[in-house]
Amino acid sequence: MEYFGYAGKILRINLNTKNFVVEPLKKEFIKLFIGGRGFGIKILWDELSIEIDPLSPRNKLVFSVGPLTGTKVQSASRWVVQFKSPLTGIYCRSVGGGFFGAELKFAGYDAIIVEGRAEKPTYVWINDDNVEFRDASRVWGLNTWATKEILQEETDKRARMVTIGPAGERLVRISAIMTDDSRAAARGGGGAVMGSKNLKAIVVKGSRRISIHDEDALNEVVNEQIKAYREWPSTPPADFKSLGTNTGTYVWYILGHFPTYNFQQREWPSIERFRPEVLKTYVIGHKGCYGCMMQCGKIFRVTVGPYAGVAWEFPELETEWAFGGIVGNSNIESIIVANMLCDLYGLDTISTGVAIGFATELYEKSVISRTETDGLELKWGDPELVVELVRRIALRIGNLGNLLAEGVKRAAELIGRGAEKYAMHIKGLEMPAYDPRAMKGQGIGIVTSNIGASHAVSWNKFEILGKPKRVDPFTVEGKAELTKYVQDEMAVCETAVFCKLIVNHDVINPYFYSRALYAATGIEDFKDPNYLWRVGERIWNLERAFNIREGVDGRYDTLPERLLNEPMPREPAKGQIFELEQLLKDYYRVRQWDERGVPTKEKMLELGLA
Amino acid sequence: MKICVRFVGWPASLFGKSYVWLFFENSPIILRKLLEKLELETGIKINLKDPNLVVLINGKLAEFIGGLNATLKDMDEVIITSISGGG
Repeated sequence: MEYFGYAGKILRINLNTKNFVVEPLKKEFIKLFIGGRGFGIKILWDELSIEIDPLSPRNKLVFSVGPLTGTKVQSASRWVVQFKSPLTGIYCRSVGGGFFGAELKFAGYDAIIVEGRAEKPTYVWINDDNVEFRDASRVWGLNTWATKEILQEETDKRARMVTIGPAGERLVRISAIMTDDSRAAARGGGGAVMGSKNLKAIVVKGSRRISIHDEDALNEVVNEQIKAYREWPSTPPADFKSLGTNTGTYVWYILGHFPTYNFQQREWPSIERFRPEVLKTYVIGHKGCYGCMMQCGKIFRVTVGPYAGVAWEFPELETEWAFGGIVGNSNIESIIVANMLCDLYGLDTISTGVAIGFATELYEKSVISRTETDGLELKWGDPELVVELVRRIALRIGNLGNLLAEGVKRAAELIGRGAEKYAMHIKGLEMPAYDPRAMKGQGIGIVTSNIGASHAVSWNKFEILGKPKRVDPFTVEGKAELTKYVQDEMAVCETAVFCKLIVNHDVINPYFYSRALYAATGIEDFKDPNYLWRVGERIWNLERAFNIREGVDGRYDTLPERLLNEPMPREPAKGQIFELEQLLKDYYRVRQWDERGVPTKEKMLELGLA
Repeated sequence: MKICVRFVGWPASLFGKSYVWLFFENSPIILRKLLEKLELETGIKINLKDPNLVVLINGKLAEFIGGLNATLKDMDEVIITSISGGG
C-alpha cells in the first residue's frame, strides 16, 4: 500500500524481550481514526485488559503523530502519548511539543507502542529502521537536561527524544514525559509509567521525507494558513506571538475564572504583577515547535533576587497560575525557577501547584500539623516554599513530599480527617486554572473530560475567546452543545496533533483540516469536514467507553465539594453557582448517552464502535 | 463622575498608555457616551463588535450587560483588552 502523508508503519517495542516489530498501518484503521489521538485510543481499547495496574508491565504507552506531521502545514507536528494513568486509573492522553514528533515521522513511524518492562534502566535508540535497546544506567538518576546531553553524545547530536527525570524514576504519580527541548506531556503521570518500565528515554533520528498526494493543493492550503497567521493585526496571533499564553493570565483573573488560594477565590491584588506589560520585561528570546511560525514559547530571565542568573523557557499560563495564583505567590522569579525544576525533574506543573495549594490550605485549617510537614511552615505566598516543595515532591523527600507525590486525591485519602474537602481534582486529576462557577461551558467540559480535570481536551473558545462567536459565560442554556462541539473538534484536531492553542483561536478547525488532510493523503473521505467531525465524536465516545469499562461512569462527572456547594465569592462572578445537574442532563442528552452518562448501543453502532 | 478606563494587552499599545481617567458631569451614563468621549480624547474609535477586542465593566463583558446601553456609575472600572493566550 502506498502512503501519502503517513509513514505507514507502527513500531511495537517489547522491553521484556528487547525485541521490536514493525507493523503496517492499515487502511481501515486510518479511515476510522486518522492518526495521533485516534490511533492511541483505539490501540489501548483493543490491547489493554481491564483493571490492570497502570504501573505494571501490562500497561502500554502509545506515542503517535499525525498525517500532517513533518509536512509544511504549520502547527501540526506535536505528538501525543496515551496510557492508563497511574494517577487516575483511567485513560489518559497527554500532548507534547518540540521536535520529537517530526523526528519520529522522519524515522518512518506514525506510532510507537511500548510494552512490558525492562530488567534494568534502558533507553531505546531509533535511527530509521535500526532500533536498539541500550543501557541507561549512566543517565538513570539524572535530570532531563543532563540526560539529553549525554544521550545525544551516545547517539547523534541532532537526535530528538522523550525522557523522564528523577520524578518519573521514583514513580511520582504526577510526573511528566519531557522532550529534549523542555516540552512536556505532563498530565496523568506518564512519567511514572515510563519509570515503571525502567524506560529512561526514547531517542530518535530520522532521514525520510513524507510523500504528499497533491503538493500544489497542500501548498495552497499552507499559504492561506501562513497568510492568516501574518495578517491578523492585533489579537491572535500578534498578541499571542509576543507573549504566548501569558497574554491571558491577567485578563483571566479580571474575568473571574482564575482560581486563587486553592480555589477559595480570595482577592489577589498581586495579579497586577502579571500584566502583559510586566511579563514582557522578562523576555529575552523566543522558541517554538517544529513547523510552527508562532514561536509562542519565550525565554524568561531572572536578574534579581536569590534566583538571579536563571534563564529558562517561560512558565505557561497554567504554570504561572499553579505556582502563582493558586498558592498566592506573586514572586515571578520563583515561578520561573519552579517551572524550570519541573522541566528538569519531569513534573506536571498543574498537578504540582494544586498539590502545594492543597497542602497549604490543610495547614492553614490545622488539618495537618508541622510534624506532618517535616517542620515546614506552609504559608500562602511563600516563594521559597513553592520552590522547595517542587523539589521534595519530585524526589519524594520527607513525609510531605512523598504524600503529595501521590496526587491530591490519594494524599487526601491517606490523611483523612476531612482532607478530601480541600482536594481539588476530578476523577483524580488535579484541576486546571478555570473556576467552573465563572464559566459554565468550560466547567461542564472539565467535568466530563475523559482524562479527568483537563481544560485542554475541552477548551470552550466560545466563552473564553469569543471564537467563532461570543457567548455569555454565566449562562447555562446551549452550553452542552458548545461543549460537545469543542470536545469533538479537539479530538479530531489531535489526530493531526495540531497545536491546541491555534485550534483554540479558531485559526485551525475541521474545515481547514479537511482541506489539508485530503491534499496530503488523497483519501476521499477526508474531503468532507463532516466526516472529520464524526471521527472526533468517535474518538470521544471510545475514550468514554474505555473509562466506563474501568468502572468510571457518570457518577464521577462531578466537582469538588467547594465548587458545588459554595457560591463564587469574588467579582465579577460573585454569587454564581455551578448548575451541575442541569448541565449534565443537557450534556448527556446532546451526546445521546443514557442517564448514567453511558454511550448507548445505538450511538456506538452509529459511530462504528459496537 | 469619573471612570478609569484601563487598556490591557495590545490596546495598551494602540492607545499608548495603560489607563486614562474620563470625567462626566452627569451620572450615571451609558457605555456609548464613554466610548464617544474616549474617541474625542484619544482619536481612537472602539467598536464593540470588533472580534479582537472586549470591553469589560467591573470585570463583566459589556456585551452581556447591556452593550452600548450598559450603565456606568462613578468609579466603575472599564477595561479594554484583547483576549488571547490560554492554557
